[in-house]
Amino acid sequence: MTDNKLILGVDMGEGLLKISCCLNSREELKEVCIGLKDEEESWTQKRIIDEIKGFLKEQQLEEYPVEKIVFSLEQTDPKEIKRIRKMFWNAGFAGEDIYVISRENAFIHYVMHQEESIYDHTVLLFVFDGAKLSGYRLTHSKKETPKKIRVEKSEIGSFSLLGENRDWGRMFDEHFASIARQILSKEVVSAVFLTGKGFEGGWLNHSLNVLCSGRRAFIGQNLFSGGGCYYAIDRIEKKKKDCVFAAPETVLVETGIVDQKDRFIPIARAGSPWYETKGEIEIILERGNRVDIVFSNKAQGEKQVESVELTGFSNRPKKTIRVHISVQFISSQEGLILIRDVGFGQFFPGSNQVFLKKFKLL
Amino acid sequence: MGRIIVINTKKARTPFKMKESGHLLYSYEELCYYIKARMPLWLMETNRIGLTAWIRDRGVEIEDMDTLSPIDAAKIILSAGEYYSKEETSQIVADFEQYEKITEAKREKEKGDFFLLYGRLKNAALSYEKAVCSLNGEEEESFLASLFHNRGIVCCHFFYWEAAKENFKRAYSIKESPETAAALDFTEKMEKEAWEIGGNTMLAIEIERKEKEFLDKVQ
Repeated sequence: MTDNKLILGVDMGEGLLKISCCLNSREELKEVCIGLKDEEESWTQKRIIDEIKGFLKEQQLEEYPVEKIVFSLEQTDPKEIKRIRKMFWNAGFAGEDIYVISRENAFIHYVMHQEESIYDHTVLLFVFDGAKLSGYRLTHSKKETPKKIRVEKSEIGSFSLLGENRDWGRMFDEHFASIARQILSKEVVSAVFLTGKGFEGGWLNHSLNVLCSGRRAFIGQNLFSGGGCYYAIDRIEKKKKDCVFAAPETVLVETGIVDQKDRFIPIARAGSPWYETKGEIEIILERGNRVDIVFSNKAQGEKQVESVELTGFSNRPKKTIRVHISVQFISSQEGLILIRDVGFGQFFPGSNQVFLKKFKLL
Repeated sequence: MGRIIVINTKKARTPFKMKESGHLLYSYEELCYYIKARMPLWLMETNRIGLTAWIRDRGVEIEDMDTLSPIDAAKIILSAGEYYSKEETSQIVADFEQYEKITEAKREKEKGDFFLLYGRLKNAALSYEKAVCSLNGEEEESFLASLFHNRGIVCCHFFYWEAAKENFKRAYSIKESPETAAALDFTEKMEKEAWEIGGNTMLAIEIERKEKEFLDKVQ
């Protein structure tokens, strides 16, 4: 990681803007959580950028260049991703350093940067904005190789703490304690995190006792933005992972091709969000006119092969069909294979014939 | 399953030009194919200065072979990468050795055919001349017919209609073929109509057009 360059993690949800930042990976994160003003109905792009710049100025960090920005979202919708990237481009941040990840992904990275005892067993996260309560469950199997860290999200229910009435608070405390007891009785949980403005107000009493019984519990508003920073740190430091992080947007398969020596040559690696998972390669067909793209899920030991037949090369001698192959994903499970004839120099000029195949992972 | 070779080498922005043919090579793989598919021309490439450096720029590690003989250079080039397997490389080297053993007439005719393909007509003419002079009377009919037919084609390029006609006649007498018959017909027609190059009877552009029409029929 380059010294004196900033990493920013940003999350928006539950009506709050959360910002985390650090100057290097050993430093503690600086964080802030900002709410909407009374007269505001929703966050505007200008307000978001102004708050980020204001926060950096407050921390006396505004002079430092930004190395990476990670924005976490509840849903990694392609249109939303594009909108967020554009927002930062327009504000003067470089395009290739902007990542948009799911909250699940941010949660995974946040937890994996804590002490090992925190994630020794299942880790739970509750998110409550005062109306909607969601739960995230992080698990991993010690038997799998490589280890796969999974996060599942579920909507627990809709509640209301309007008015911060003490009676309402007590009632919800009992209700939440009951929910937590039920969930925690099903498996061993080593840590619980709570985030969202709904957990503010001091109503957590009985439920806190339930949550803290035999495990550690944490409450804070910057879990996702902090997780975003850790995501960026891991990318910068290119940490070799002996595990796979299975967030909703993550492509879990290695995409590649088997060469004439039966070696698997990767075209796109597993473990990245689908919108970053793409690759290209050039090959020459030694014989036959079919290209097989292999999708390999090492964690599950499964392979899927998508074949593309290349037509129109019947007159070409052996080893003179040279094609460019590119693969890109349009979701974590679907994508496109594009194969183009690039010719074989002066011997056989390229026809620029293109073969396109859509694939879906089973 | 189709077997494939994954390309790990870099394509050249500046091609390497083979001196004998003028063929432009843009990749290590094309060079390997050239060595195999243009064997007679490769064997003439004794001046390969710069080729080692060009191959290294393609990302292929190779010892300096610019000043080695074409066969020794071919062994090193083909073994340096993965385009040809060890077995294929051995076969190509064996083919080189076999090529050296064939008659001079056959060697010259093959050279001539490749020069004709690349439009190096004077070189083609010279090679065919050498081939004809080296005939020992034991050649197959198909070889002889092809030799004289192609020699006729070269003559047409130079507007030597009478010489072209003689070659096509000879080719046809050895082995009748529709291509040689068409070439002969056309040449006789050209002779009768008495084309003159640069003369008053035809404009140069009309001559070019007629030549292209003729070549489209016979090639």
